[in-house]
Formats: sequence, structure tokens, C-alpha cells
Amino acid sequence: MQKFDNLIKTIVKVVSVIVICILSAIVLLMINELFLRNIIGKSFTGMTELAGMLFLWMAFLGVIILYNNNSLISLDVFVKNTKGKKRRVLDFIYQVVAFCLGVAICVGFISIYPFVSTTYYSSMPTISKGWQYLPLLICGLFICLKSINNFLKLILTKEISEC
Amino acid sequence: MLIFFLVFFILLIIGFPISLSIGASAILGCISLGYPILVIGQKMVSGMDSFLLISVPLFILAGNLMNAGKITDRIFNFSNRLVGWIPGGLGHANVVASMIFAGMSGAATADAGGLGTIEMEAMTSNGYDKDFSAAVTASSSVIGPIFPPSIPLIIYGSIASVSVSKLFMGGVIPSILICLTLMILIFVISIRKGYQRTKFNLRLLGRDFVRAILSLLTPIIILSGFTFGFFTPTEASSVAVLYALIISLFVYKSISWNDLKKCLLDSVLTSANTLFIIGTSTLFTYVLVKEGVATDISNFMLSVSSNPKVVLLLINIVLLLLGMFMEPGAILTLMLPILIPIATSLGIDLVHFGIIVVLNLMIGQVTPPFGVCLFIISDIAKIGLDRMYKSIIPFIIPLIVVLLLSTYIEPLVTYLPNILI
Repeated sequence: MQKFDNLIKTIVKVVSVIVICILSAIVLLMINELFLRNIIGKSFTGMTELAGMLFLWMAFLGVIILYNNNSLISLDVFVKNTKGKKRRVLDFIYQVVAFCLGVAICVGFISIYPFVSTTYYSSMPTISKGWQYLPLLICGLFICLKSINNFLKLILTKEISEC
Repeated sequence: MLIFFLVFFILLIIGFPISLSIGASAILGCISLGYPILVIGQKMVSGMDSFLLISVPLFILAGNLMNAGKITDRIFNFSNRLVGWIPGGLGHANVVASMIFAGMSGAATADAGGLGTIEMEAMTSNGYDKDFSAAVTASSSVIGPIFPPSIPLIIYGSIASVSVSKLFMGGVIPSILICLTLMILIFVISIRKGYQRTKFNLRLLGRDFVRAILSLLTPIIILSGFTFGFFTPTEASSVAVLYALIISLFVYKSISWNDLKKCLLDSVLTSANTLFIIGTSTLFTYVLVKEGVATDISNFMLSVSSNPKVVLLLINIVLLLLGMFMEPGAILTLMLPILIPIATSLGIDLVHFGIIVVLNLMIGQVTPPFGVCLFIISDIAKIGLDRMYKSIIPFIIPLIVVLLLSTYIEPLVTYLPNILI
């Protein structure tokens, strides 16, 4: 269980560094594009396409951190004060639904991949659009992993504080 | 279809995150209605795949940098010197500071969470009661997403294919009206409660103006930039970030490397929360449209009346109610495919309509029971939600007045975009 927890912590740490770099890169790309267009008078589509791809990576990887921290926006006022058995039942439902959702997201990626892997960016002909769908798979996999971790915690311990 | 909605509401009520509730019910809908599985991936990604939406994390980052770089302190001090001499001085300063901050950030939560802390501290330490201070701070944070730049307007522009520059300009007069109506209410309450004010001092006003001049220039740079066509709204967001970074790092020297990392991460997380809702809502809306639910709702609304004024009133009521319970990004993605055809068929200007929609959703941010800004401010003010709910009610009235004025006097919204862009 400890190893599982450490694995998740490591993933989240790495993802945090990656998203910080991605957002910085988006800012630089946008400023560079603005500079090129207004000063040199040339626009390079590659900048905006790359920024668009990075943006999707940032959004889906951000969900990993949010899901891990339980920070996704929710209406928890109805269940905030639920305790004991009721709380445990709700937690079980939560984890089962989250796991199924994670699986569905992964299956959704696998289904679309054959189509998007053969479509390419106009400015980056060697890079397929599959790359911009990849963070969806990573996000789905993490949701599965985290929900399994939480599910195990629910079974092995009486209370679960992090679910 | 019934299961589809039922699952959504049950998950929402049991505390499942909004984005995951929408996603899970939409996926269940896709599977039970026999849609190809590939639409799950396709719609979730395509919902977010918009160049315009890139500006969302960047405007959030600009706001966070302003907060971390203590630029907001300077704005508040200047606002206090400017309007602090009016009865209820710090209340007015609170509103004016939010208005200036609105020109740098585009989110109500950035205003409530960042500037709100400074405003609450200044008001309560100067004898203003906590409930009143909290209500002023929460209601003034609504100006943020209406005065340009605005994140909900960017999302609206992206979904409705409307010029974001025009939308931004359309928000200027309504946000000034909100500022004025809130100040009138604060004036009346302050006279009754006898709140103190500061003496007007031109020399100190000049000093604080000079101290805040660089931060005050941000909205001017952003607005003039896209009005004169130097940059697009997305590029404007990167300019805002660069400018905030330069003044915090090199001029005011008020931000550390760790602050910068925190700002970047916080901005990613805040925007990912909204963007994921947009992604899953796109899938949800796809099912609604495919199954004809969207058309049924449109037809029902149009069957009530074909008078645009009546339909707008109906839309206002629906959006206000939804805004009390749901996140603005979700409402925009879920409702716009239904509402835009109605607005178009009735000949309503889509810039005008966009401002009405966003005004409704922003009022929802400060309306009980689930107004996000109420949660943030009650946490900062350390007062219970029951007290927060009670104190905010009078402040919703001016917001509703501005909503009605903007709804029925179209030039209040369309005049500036028409003459400037």
C-alpha cells in the first residue's frame, strides 16, 4: 500500500513540474508569435499549433493533480457532514464510478487513435494529431490508478480520509 | 434519456465532482444510446481544442502574478485615496479596486481570493462590521468577469463564434454601472451605520497614483491593444502575463522564484478545473443535441412567447437559477447550444446576448446556496455561510438592476463595440 501511495505521489510531483513548464512554454510561444507578427511582420502557424497542443496537455495533466488533491469543483454540501456507514457507501460508489469513467476515457482514446494518428499538423507534418489526444489517455489511466488506490484503502482500513 | 439526467443529478448530489458527473452521465448516455465510443475521446478533446481558450490560463496567471507581486496592495491604496473620502470610504475603495483589478484578470475568484483578503483586512480593522465588509467584497468581485478581459466572455465567444473583442467592449458599460450601483448602496448603508471616511488629500492621492501607475496601465494596454488591432484577445493574455511579470520581478521586485512557481501551478489548476468541465460538457451537449432535447427546449421556450423581451426575461430566470447551483463554464457549454438558436431566431444581437448571459452567471457566483465567491469570502472573513447568505442579499439587488438595464436597453451593451470595433 505504501509503495502504491509513493507511486501516485511521484506521478503527481512529476506532472506538477511538467505542467509548470508547459504553461511557461505557452506564454513564451504566444509572446514570440506576437513579436514575430508585429515586429518582423511574419506569422508562423507552427507556434499557435504547438501552443494549442501544449494547452491540451496542460488541461488534462492538470486534472491529474486536481483529482489527486480532491480539488475538482464539486457540490459537497449535501454530503459534507455524512459520517460512518453512509460515508463509506458513498466513498465506494465514488471510487467505482471514477474507475469506470477512467476506463471509458481510455477506451475512448483507443477508439479514436486510429483516426487521429493519421492526421497531421499543417505546420508540423511529422507530428500526428494523436499527440494531442495522448494526455486524455494519461488522465484516464491516472483516474483508474487513483481510484484503485482509494478502493484498496477503503477495504483495508475502516476510514478513508483522502477519498 | 431519463437515466442520463438521473445519473447526472445523483452523482452531483453525492458530491462527485461536476466535471466527472457530467462526463460519467454523458458516457453512459453514449453507451446506452449506441453511439460510437470514439465520440467520447473526440468530443472531450475538441471541446477544449480552441485557440481562444488558451487565453484562459494566461489571464488567470496574470491575475495571480498581480496578487503575488503585491500589485493589488498598490491598487487598493490608490482606490482608497481616490474615493475614501465618500461616506463608507473603504467600501467604495473596495469596489473601485475590484474594477481596476478586473482590467488585469478575468475571474471573479481571482478577485475574491487575492484582492479580497486585502480588502477584508482593511475594512474590518477600520471598524466596518465583518458581514458588511464580506458582502461588499463578494459583490464587487462580480465586476471581474464582466469588465474586460473576461474568462466567461472568452468561453462564450469560443462557443458562440462571436468576436471576443466586441464582447469585451460590450462589458465595459455594464461593469461601470455595477460599480456605480454598488457604490450607491454602500453610501446609503454607510450613512445609516455611520462608517468613517478619510479626508481627501490631493498630495497623497498623487503619491499613491504614482506608486500604482504601472499596475493602472495594464487594463489600458490590454484594451487599447485589441481595440487598435495590435493583438488578438489570446495574445493580449500573454501581454498581460509578460507585463505583470516584468513589473513584479524587475520594477517592484516583489515576487520570488517560489512565488512564481506557485502562481504557475495555481493557474494551471484553476484553468484545468474549468477546462475539464468544458470538455466533458461538450460530450454531454452532443448527446442532448443528437437526441433532440436541445431542439425541444428551444421550441418550448419559443412557444411561451415570440416576444424577445419576454423570452429574454425567461432566459434570465433560467440562467439565474442555474447559476445558483452550477459552475459558469458548465452552464455556458451546456446551455449555449440551446440558447444561441433562440437568440438568433428572435434577432437578438449575440454580443448583447453574451453580456446578458455572463451577467446572469456572475450574479450566480454570489447567490446562495452555491455561489463560489461566497464560499471564498466567508472563509477569508471567518464568518459562517449563514451570515454570509444574509449579508449578501441587499447587494444582489443592484446587480439585478444592472442585469435588467442591460437586458432591456441594448445600447448600454452594444454602443461601445459598435463605435470602437
